[in-house]
Amino acid sequence: MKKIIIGGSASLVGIGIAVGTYLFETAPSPRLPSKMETPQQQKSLPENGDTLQPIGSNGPIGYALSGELQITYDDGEHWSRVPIGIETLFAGEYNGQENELIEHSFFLSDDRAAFLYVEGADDQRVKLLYSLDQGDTWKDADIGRMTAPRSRKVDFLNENDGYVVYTGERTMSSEATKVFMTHDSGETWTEVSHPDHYRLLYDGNFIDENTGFLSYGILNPEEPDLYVTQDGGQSWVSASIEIPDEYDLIFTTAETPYVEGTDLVLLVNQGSSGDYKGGKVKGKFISKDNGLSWSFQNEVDADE
Amino acid sequence: MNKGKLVMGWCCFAFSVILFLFQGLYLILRLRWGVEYADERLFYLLTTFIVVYATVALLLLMDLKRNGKAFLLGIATIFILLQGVLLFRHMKDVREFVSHSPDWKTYLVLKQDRLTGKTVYYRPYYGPFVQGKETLPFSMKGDAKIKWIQDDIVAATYHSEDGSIHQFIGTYGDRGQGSSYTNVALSFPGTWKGGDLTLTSTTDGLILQRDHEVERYTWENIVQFGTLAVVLTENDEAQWTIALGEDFISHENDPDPPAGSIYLYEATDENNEPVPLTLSFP
Repeated sequence: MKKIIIGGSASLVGIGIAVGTYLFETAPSPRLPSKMETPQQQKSLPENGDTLQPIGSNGPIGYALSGELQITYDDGEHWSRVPIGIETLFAGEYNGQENELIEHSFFLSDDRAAFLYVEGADDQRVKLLYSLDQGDTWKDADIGRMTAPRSRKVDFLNENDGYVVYTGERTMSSEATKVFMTHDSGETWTEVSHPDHYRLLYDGNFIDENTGFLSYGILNPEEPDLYVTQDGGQSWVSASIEIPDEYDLIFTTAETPYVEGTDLVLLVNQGSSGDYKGGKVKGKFISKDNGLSWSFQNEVDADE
Repeated sequence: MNKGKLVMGWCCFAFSVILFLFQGLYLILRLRWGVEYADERLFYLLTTFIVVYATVALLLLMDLKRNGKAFLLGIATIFILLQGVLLFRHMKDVREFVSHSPDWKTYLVLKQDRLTGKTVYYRPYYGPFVQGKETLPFSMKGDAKIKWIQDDIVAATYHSEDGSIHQFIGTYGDRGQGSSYTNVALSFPGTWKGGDLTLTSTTDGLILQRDHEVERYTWENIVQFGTLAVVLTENDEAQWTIALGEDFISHENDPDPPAGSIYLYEATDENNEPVPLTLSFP
């Protein structure tokens, strides 16, 4: 009996060593957490397809986060897995819910899917994973370095032009802002200048390849602090916003401007603690000089 | 059978089984979670120990005939030789750097693919186990010079393929300050002096003076590692590491000037020591 136990155990150990050595030698090197998986075509119904609900729907286009990121172009009937680690989508200085993507950190349209993510631990880089064929193949674009990215935004203005705005390296109430633009559908990104300003960024956008805005001030702002570029980010100037006296210290935070008909419109809200009319109104401003100066139009509902 | 032999035989048998189970656990961790030994040579070493212990156990506990013993020793020799060959091949492919902190509470692990120079920084996971954290930004050529600046800050100075010099800083923990992020370069405002070095932190960047030589570093040239150190660069080459001393207090949230010391460590091939600096005037 003793011989059987010892002999059997020794045989098992021998076989185990042989198999273990083989597995050790042939297994691929462990992947780095920040390393991208090889993009591959994965168009299939997920295992829990009957319960997967698209989030951030834009018509039939949406995404789902259920242990992995997936996108759909037919309202959830078929899903494509996005080859990216979920943790990289929320890396940096982000403390919010992780059951939805960070607002504005992705772009989904008929002909494009793009997701900003952060690679690396100590030496962090902001990158963009994007697909131009509804998730069949994916490309990876390096945007730039930023330690502990806080806010991040990607948007495309047309087939070729797009921008990325992100901030980071926050210390107390100051941080660095970076603005990048692409003119070749996202393949290459060029950093453009930004205002010489280190307040916390509230929001930023471009309305065309030349005209862009950066709005600063999150912590108890007293007046809107909006910068505008009209040369694709080469230079920035502070926009002039004429706040009527009765709205002084009330309308304090500029949102990102948008085009309405032939006008350029800017909504200025009351900040996080504003309570004028219950905090339910914003100031509407109009610019006739492409964003350099803004004149008050009227109050509008806050949910406009 | 001699009682001593019997006890020794069973001990060897137990050792071989325990090591075998440990190696099995490691393989699961490696294949499932990407965990590796800090030094993968440990795999070959432990496997050799398993074979040796199992062989000794069999020789002591089993009444083997001469042919049986020869067969057993032959098999064991083949296994051990195989491990030796694989170990040699592994060392030819991968260069591993393992360095313990002065207080032996943590360690630095770098693994370099000798062919490509691609080098991966690993974080201690548990005991001898580590996990890959990130790839060094430049492929490493030759050796790295490892220096612990503090018990929780280590600098690896290395050359890239084009001969330029770089520093990678491993930092371990935030020293319990409770902040997930600190801008290190902004945490020590004022002028700091130590030896022949004077470092001044301004809103525009850092100014470093050695004797009459002055270097200015803007924020674009200051690369942060963790929450404890930055590397000053010029033309994508490292020049100095600035590490926060263990006695450093930033006083970032109150009006007092920072206290304690910071350390300057030059990026050079020479065998240099970090220079402590103290606040000269805030």
